[in-house]
Amino acid sequence: MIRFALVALLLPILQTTPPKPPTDAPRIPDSVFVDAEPADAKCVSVVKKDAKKGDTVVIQAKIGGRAEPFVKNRAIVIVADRCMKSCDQIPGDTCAKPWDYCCEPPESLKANTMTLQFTGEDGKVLKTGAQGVHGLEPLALVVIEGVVTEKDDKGTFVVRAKRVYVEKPAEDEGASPNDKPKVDGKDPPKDAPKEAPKE
Amino acid sequence: MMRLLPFDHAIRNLGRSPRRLALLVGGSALVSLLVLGAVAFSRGLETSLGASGLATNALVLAAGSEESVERSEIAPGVTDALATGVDGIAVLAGQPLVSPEIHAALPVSLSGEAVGSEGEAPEAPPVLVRGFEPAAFAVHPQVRLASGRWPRPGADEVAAGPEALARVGGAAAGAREGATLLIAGQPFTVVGTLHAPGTAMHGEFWMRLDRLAQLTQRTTRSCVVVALGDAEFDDVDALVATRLDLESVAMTESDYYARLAEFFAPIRALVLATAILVSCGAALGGLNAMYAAFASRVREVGTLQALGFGRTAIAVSLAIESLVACSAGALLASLIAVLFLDGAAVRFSMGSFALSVDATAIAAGLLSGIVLGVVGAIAPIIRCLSLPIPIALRA
Repeated sequence: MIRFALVALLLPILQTTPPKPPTDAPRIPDSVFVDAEPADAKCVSVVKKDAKKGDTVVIQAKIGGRAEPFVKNRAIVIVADRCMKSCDQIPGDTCAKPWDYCCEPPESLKANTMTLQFTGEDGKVLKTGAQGVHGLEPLALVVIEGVVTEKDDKGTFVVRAKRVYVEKPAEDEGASPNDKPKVDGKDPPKDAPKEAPKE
Repeated sequence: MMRLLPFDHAIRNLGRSPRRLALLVGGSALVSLLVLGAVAFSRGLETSLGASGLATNALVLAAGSEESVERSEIAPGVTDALATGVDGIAVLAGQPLVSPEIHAALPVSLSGEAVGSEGEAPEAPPVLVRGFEPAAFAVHPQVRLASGRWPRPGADEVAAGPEALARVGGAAAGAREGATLLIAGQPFTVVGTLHAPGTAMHGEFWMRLDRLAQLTQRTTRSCVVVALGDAEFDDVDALVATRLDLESVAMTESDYYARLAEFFAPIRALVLATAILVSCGAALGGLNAMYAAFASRVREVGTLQALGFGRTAIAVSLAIESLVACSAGALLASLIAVLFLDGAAVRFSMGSFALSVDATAIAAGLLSGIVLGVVGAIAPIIRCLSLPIPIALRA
């Protein structure tokens, strides 16, 4: 009788356990994420200006550039040039989504942002969200090695990721990784490009 | 076992003073009506915004203007980029259902309205004017043409939502098809009447996209609405995230209106809080009447106690009296609300919506009446029963 009651009590709980995702659901391969930073990384704005379609590029960037930098069920991420100041780097700014760069003029935003895609073996974008995978979160600092798959002179610049290095958040609470944006591994020069590069 | 007073004792007592009963029922009806009206306001706004957007539509608007489609400006090329770049979009007669639109709040008045004493133009309220192309009929199936015809491209013609006409005074003036409106100072003829009850579109004017672009002197669009069909919303979002040159963001139409509803949440809370505060005043008036009604019956209560009825039994009887009177008031309020409030238009700066006296609103009204009946009886009952029997009999 007690056993029956226990089963009766546990049955609804067991039934409400969320179903496990199917094992064949697309996911970004772990092998894409590396522990060592790819060498000779350049800024987004520099790569956007110089690279051609089909080039392999190494880019250092920060995840952000719009209010929702991740596409929910597609492995697509918007990343921004580290030289641009996200809202959290502006003293006194209380922006709820500091990764949207709402203080940047649209032209600057267009020139300093690009799209990162994770594709499957068939070359198509994986039908899974990238947020949370291996530390990919808004404002995370990343170094990307990939191939330029789309580029035009209007602002579109798409890179298919081959290797991604996600920088670990700084240990020191007082120093956010976003406090000191670096260009090519060094502190940015005072005249670092911020506006749209002039053709 | 406790001996209760007969139920009809409580009911008969209610009729002893018709004026007092009317005061109680009226006070309760007022409280219930206020609460019911506030909930109907909140539900109406919520329902209207919920019905205005479809989850099967994607809304593409300018990055940074996610909160307001009126502020959004996107390039005309976004329409073609979406039509050609997303597979599976719904198609009608071979055309992808991609609807570019302009949403603009423009001053609208009836042509020929009396000018002021100093010759100034009459104050025209801003009303939402939507510029559309034929695909709009398919992506907004909630909107139908009740009468007349759709405006022609390039013509000075509009289709008017009934609430939009009422807002500019057209309903009072009996204006329908054929009437002339001044929109942003230019004359337009009403050639059709829109029918989109329960949605924001019921309070809009629609004119052809090219004419509105000309009128507002803009080359950009406010948004593009895409009927998803076999495509998924993520396909649209992926295209927008990949084509950074479009400078756009995508969201489902229902999400946009849900955000808009969130934006109005403080107003809804304010309306509810105001109604509750005013209700408190009305409730205090009702309580006072009840207090007076029970206080004059101290001797009767003492007599009942002397006859052997317990304090609990007497308290229950008095509570039933109060509950019946207040419930009657709540029922009266519900009847008034259903007859006169349901569907009544509330017009605000950028549109209108209808009050919705639904089951939730009626339940809130009835509940407020019941709560008033129970809570309102507590203090007078304590006052009546706190006196010792000899003192009560001499009262």
